[in-house]
Order: sequence, then C-alpha cells, then structure tokens
Amino acid sequence: MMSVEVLTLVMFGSLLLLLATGLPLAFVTGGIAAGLIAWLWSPDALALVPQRAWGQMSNYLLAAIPLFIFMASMLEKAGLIEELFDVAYKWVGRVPGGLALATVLASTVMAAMVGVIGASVVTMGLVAMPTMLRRGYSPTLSIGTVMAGGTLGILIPPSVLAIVYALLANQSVGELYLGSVVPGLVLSGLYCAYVLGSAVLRPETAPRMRKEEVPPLSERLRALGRIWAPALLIALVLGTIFAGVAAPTEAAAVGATGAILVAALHRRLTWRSLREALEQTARSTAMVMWIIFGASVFVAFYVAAGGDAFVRELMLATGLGPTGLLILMNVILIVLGMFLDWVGILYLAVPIFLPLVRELGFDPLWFGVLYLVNMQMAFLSPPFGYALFYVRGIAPELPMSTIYRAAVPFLLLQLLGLILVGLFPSLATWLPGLVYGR
Amino acid sequence: MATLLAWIDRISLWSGRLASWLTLAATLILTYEVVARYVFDAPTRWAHDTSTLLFGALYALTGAYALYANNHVGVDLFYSRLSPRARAGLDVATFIIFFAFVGAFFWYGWEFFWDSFRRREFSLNNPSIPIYPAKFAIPLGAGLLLLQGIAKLVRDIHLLVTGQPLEAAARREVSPAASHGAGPVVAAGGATMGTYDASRRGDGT
Repeated sequence: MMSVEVLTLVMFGSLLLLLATGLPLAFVTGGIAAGLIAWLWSPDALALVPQRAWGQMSNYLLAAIPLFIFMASMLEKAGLIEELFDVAYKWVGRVPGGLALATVLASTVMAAMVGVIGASVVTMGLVAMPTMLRRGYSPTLSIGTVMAGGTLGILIPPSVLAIVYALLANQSVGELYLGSVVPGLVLSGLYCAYVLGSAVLRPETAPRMRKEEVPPLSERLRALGRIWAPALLIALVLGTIFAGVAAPTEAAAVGATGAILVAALHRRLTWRSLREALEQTARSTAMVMWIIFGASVFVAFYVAAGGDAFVRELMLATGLGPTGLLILMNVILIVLGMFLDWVGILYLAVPIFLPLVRELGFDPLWFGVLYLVNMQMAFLSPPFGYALFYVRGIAPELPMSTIYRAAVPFLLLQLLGLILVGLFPSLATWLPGLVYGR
Repeated sequence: MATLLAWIDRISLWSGRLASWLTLAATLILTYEVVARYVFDAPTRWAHDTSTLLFGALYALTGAYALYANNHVGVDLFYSRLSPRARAGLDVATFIIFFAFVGAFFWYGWEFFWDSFRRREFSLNNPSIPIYPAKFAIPLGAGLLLLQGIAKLVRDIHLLVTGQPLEAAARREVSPAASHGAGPVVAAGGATMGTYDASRRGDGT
C-alpha cells in the first residue's frame, strides 16, 4: 500500500494527464480507480464498481435528474421558451437594452421551471440571439445574456445541482432550494443592471426600439394572458416542493407530465417530438450518470485510502483561518470549473471538502448555497463551460474568442454574486429561516 | 468487418432508443402516484420502487448509446485540434483505461446480478417487486458499452495504421445527427462535429 501522499499524486496526476488525452471524464475517473483498486487492493475488490453504481441506480432522489432533463426537452419542443421571450420583449422592449433584458427575464422565469441549463441556452440562442444581432446589438452583449441567463437554470430552484448536492451533503433539498432563491434573483438583477448600464452608456451596442414599434397595451395584455402555462408549471413544481407536499422527484415527474400537456395544447406534441425529447433525455442522462458512476468509485477509493483526512490536514496546515480556507476552497472550485463539468466537480470535490467544512463550523446551508453560486461560473468559464459550447453549437460561425469575451463581464458579475453571498450569509439563510424557522 | 461494426452501431442506437422510453413510463407512473396519493388519498405501494428501478436500468443501458452519439464529455484542450489520425492514436492508447472501468463493470456486474438472481431478490418495501431485472441492466449495459468501445477501438486502429477511416461513406448513413433528425439546430450546427457536436444541443445539463 502506498502512502496517501503518493496516492494523491498518482490519482490526481493521472487524472490530469488522462483528461488531457480527451478521454471522457466518466472513463478517466472510473478507469484510474479500477486500475488502482485491482493493483493495491485485489481484483475481487472491483466488486465495488457495480456496488457503487447500484447505489446511484437505486437512488430515488437521483431520478429527478432524468425527469428534469425530460421536462426541459419537452418544454423546448413545446415552444414555451420562445413564447416567454416574446412576452418579455413586448413588455420591456422599449427600455434601453430591451431585447437583452427580455432574454434575461425570460431565462429567469424558465429557470424557475426547469433544473438544467441546456434547453434555455439553446432555445434563447436560436430565438433571442439572432433577433438581437439583427437589431444591431453587439455580439458580445447578445451572446453573454443568452449564456448567463441560461446558467440561472441550475441556481434558481428547481435545480438538479441542488438535489445532487443535498444528497451528497445529506441536507434538505427544500432548504437549499429556498436558500438559492434570493441569490438567484440577485444574479438575475445584476445581469439586468449590467445590460441596462451598458445600453445607456454605450447605446450603439444595444439600439433602442423605435416608439412606433412598441406594441399597443391591448396586445401586451393579450401576450400576458398566454403565460398561464409557465405560471401553472412553476406553481405545480415549486409549489409542491416548498409546501413540503411532494418530494423533488415527484414534483419533477408532475412537471414533466405538465410539459407534455403544454406541448399538446400548443399542438406540438407528435410522436416525433416526444421520441426526440426522450432520446435527448437518454443521452444527457447517460452522460451525467456515467460520470457519477466513474467519479463515485474514484472518490470512494480515495476516501477509503484516507484521502479526505489528508486533504483536510493539508488545508489546515496552510495556516489559513476559516475565512482563508473558505476562499481557498472557492478558488479551487472555480479552477475546477474551468475544466470539469458540474457533476464531476460535485462528486470529486464535495465529499473531500465537506468534512473540513463541518470542522470549520460553517453553516452547511450557507456553504451549500455558496457552492451553487460558485458552480454558476463553471458553466461560463473558459476554456470549458457548457454554455460556451451550446452557443458554439448553435452559431458555429462565431469565433470562440468572441464567445469567451462575451462571457467575461458575466463571469465577473457571478464572482460579485459569490462574494456578496460570502459576505452576507443572510442572502442564503433568510428565506429558509422564514419558512422553516431555522 | 465494416458490416460487423455497422451492426454494433445499430445495436447501440436501438438499445438507447428503446431504453429512452423507460423515462416516459417512469414519468407516468410517478405522476399517477402523485395524483392517487394527493387527489384520491390512495397511495400505491409500487410506484416509487418501480419508477426508481426503471430509471436505474435507463442509466446503465444508455451508456453505449451515449458513446455512439459522442455524448460522453471530456476536457477538450488539445484533442479537437489534433489530426484525426493523432486523435485515433490517443484513443487507442487510452482504451486500456476505458476497458479497466467498463470491463470491471461488466465482469463484477454480472456477479452482482447473479447473486441477486440466485436469491430471487425482491424489494424490501414491497415484496412483489423483483430487484434482479434492474440489476441485470448493469452487466447488459456495460456489455453494450464494451461492444461499442471495441468497435471504436477497431476503427481507431485502422485509422492509425492506414491513415484512412475504415468506412468512409457507410458511417454517414447511421451517424447520430442524420438519424436523430434533430431539426433546425443540428442543421445549423452540423458543420462543427467536434467533441461538442451539435447532437448535444439542448442536452439538458
């Protein structure tokens, strides 16, 4: 048996090396762990691999992942996201930066319906982005708002990230959800303020709508009448979770069924759209779950070898106080976010960090929300962020450098949001305290 | 050889397409449970376990489909900038890592299933729900994934050695973007089939 210091070097060294070869994260983590288990323990100890996988497969709460992905895919097919954008635009179109504001607002509402980011970024990228570009908005502002708005999907409840975090940290999903409401709205507000500010200061980046283009009040009111479906879905999904009536998994199932009904009412429900939504769900779920399969074996092996205690001692040995360590952990998470995706970070870093977090006496709810806000950056930070690549997939003619540049102001706003939640824990704890009387 | 590889592709594609309907079944079961419990005050004793097991099977069974459709994500710092031949070389070299994980999944997954099957393992919550069919998804899903991984290995070795893809034209017919008919987005993004190809659009995370 090698010492934990050497083991740490071997495991994370080979992780970096193998990731650089382009081998998918699921197989890198799972393969390293399987190799080391067979070599250092015994080949028969590899029985751990299916056992860990089964632990995830038989987990009722994790079933919320495919359900929320399915719901988002179905809403995308139902054309609901376009509709939200249209309504928002009719109302705020006249305001400076109106199109970009409408994008952020529609994404925020969408985020309250679904727990993932893909559907929002892609649909907004297809609908709002070309509209903004056609109207003479600067590419960076247009792309930035689509990407940043989309990432809200995984912060504002319901969010699959919060569910899986709660599962790993053994916390209440309801509390985490309530805790992330205010930070989510703060971020959405920061995005809006930035859009307004840049539209006023540099009008050439966001030309205003002409007065005669503003739709009459009657049309705007009629548009408002069309958002009953999103309103109902939000009430169904969030209402049942917050009221403590249904578990997140059940709420997600009801939301997914609701999304099928919305598609039917919009006359978009066909065998083909249903099949495509299901296949899209299967592919994304497989990607997420196989990372979980691989990373959970990797981390189980590392923890069994004393890795979490080692990291704890290593961090304490830096001589930093609790605040310093908190900042250090967040910096590590930000760096990981540049390269890994959210599931990988969650399963690799959180089980190792949590013992330290508990020892330092941080409020677990506050740390959880801080983590969720931090992970917002992972979707947007170059070189590897989902939002960047979704936009890239929609508009391959855009140079990657433009997409990166578009992300920068919003990344700074996310960092500001993270610092705000760090400085004012009540942003995270006030609402849960109010509801659950903590 | 090309025919055999095309068959493996087809198996991965259709196993994934079939398994994807598990999501709909489990969604409807859970919705039924919610309505039965909160509206009619008549909760079932089978909905939670059944839907969880259906999803469990979904995760394991769709690994091959996701590999076929190039949905498993990696960190793409240099990879997509390499020539196809260099990429094939790297993939051949790292196959052993893939094999270590998926092989263990398959081999010990079979034992895991067999143990459950021999005991005729049933749910603790509801003794009429069998567990072993869902556990069978572990070796089955890993086996399908191994098969697709080996098909990829054969193609990579061929490309590495000869510098030519094994099936230049045949592959196109069953390529994911063409067969999923994913609509306007793929049409727009179809030109950039990198590690983050368009078939991943809107994929929910």
